[in-house]
Amino acid sequence: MASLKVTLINVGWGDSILLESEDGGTTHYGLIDSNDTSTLRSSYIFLKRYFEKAEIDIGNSKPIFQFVLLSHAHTDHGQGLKALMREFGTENFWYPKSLRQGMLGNLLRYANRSTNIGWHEALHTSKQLPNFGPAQMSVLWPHDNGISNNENNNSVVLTLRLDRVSFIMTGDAEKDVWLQIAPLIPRSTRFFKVPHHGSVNGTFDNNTAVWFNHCPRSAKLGVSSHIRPFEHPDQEVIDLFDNNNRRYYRTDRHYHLTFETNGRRTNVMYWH
Amino acid sequence: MTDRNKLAAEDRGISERVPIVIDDVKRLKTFSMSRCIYFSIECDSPSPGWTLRIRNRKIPFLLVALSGIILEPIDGGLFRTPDKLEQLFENIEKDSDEGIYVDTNDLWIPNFIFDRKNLKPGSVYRVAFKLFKAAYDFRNQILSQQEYVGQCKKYGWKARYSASETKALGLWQKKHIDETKERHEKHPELTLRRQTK
Repeated sequence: MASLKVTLINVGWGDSILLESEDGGTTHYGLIDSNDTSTLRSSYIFLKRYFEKAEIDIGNSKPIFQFVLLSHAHTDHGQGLKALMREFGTENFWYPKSLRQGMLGNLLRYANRSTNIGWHEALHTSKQLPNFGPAQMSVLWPHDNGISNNENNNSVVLTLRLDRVSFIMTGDAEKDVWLQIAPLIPRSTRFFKVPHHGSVNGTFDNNTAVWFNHCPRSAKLGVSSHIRPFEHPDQEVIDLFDNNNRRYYRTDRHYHLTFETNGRRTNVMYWH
Repeated sequence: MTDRNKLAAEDRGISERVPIVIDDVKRLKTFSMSRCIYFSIECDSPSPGWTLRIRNRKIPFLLVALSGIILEPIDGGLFRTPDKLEQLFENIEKDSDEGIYVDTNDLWIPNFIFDRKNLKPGSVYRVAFKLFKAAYDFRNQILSQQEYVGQCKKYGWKARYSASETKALGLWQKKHIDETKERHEKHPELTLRRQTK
């Protein structure tokens, strides 16, 4: 039976998300972001053990990933990706257009030279993405017509759809993005990654909870949250969820979070 | 500064030698720091031919799991041009998929360390080793925020803006964006198709 699974890996500050889709015994893998440093390699260790458990012989199975996506060019999302692509390989490396200099240059230089990356290009809404196994993927944001000075607003907002269920991956997209695309959130959404780690800027425009008002009540919410160096999610965002009796899960409390669907029903698993 | 004074300053860890790049500036009520990137040399598979020099002794060793902070170009000085940065990458990453490579890591530095005018994403600064170490310890949860900020204020550390390196980094990145575009022009059949409406 076909399935789609998304795991928010607890990497402390930042995001790292493992995606899997399965159909007919074949599993496809994707990765969004990492926050690994030389000394703190949370997503690397998770993935290493995960693929070990799945009895994947990394050396003979490279590239492991169908795609690796850098949601936006902030280092708490992109550092560690080079090491992961070196280790596991990827057919595609995707990213948004960005003006942010430093980390992205390092990744592009590597992508232009390495045999561990099949192809790489910038994503925007005009691009048609290949299927991710049995799931369809599409880009809700950004458009092709500009690059924001606020790097969070260059975040790739990705939808994955399996049959009657959609999952939305949001990067750190903030209110300016949601004011434009919130009405496009599919009614079939059953998992929504809360943008920007649950910050006020990712959810509120003044006192209006932009994406929240368009996100179906039946959608489970996942937050890549952290305590250090300061706390996310913001209390106002948590109050919003609590006051509206919305189910949400956060990596700083529940550790790794897995949301799974067979295209009809969804399920959530967590460690704590 | 004379050479002797420079050496003395380096010994005391107060010479601003470590290059960092501003990634994001946070100005919150209880947290006013900037996330900064530094470049490092990493090694993830055993590499022969290395020698450690300690107290006039040379110790050969097989290198594995190195992480070294990049301070300057191959021929010294500053990364004043994109070619100097590219030369460093080319020499370290002769074969892109071999064991040694360049990567980026992050740390947080209080905003009061920087000058206001240039504190923005993409700016390159140089900081002293002692500040870098304190920032590294804070990042790795060895120092609390209070201890870290206290040290910064106590020692009066400052970051030195490096205009030429800021410009060079931007040009270097543009070079690789342009290279990417050329690849796409050469291989349009590999690019993602456009949505048809």
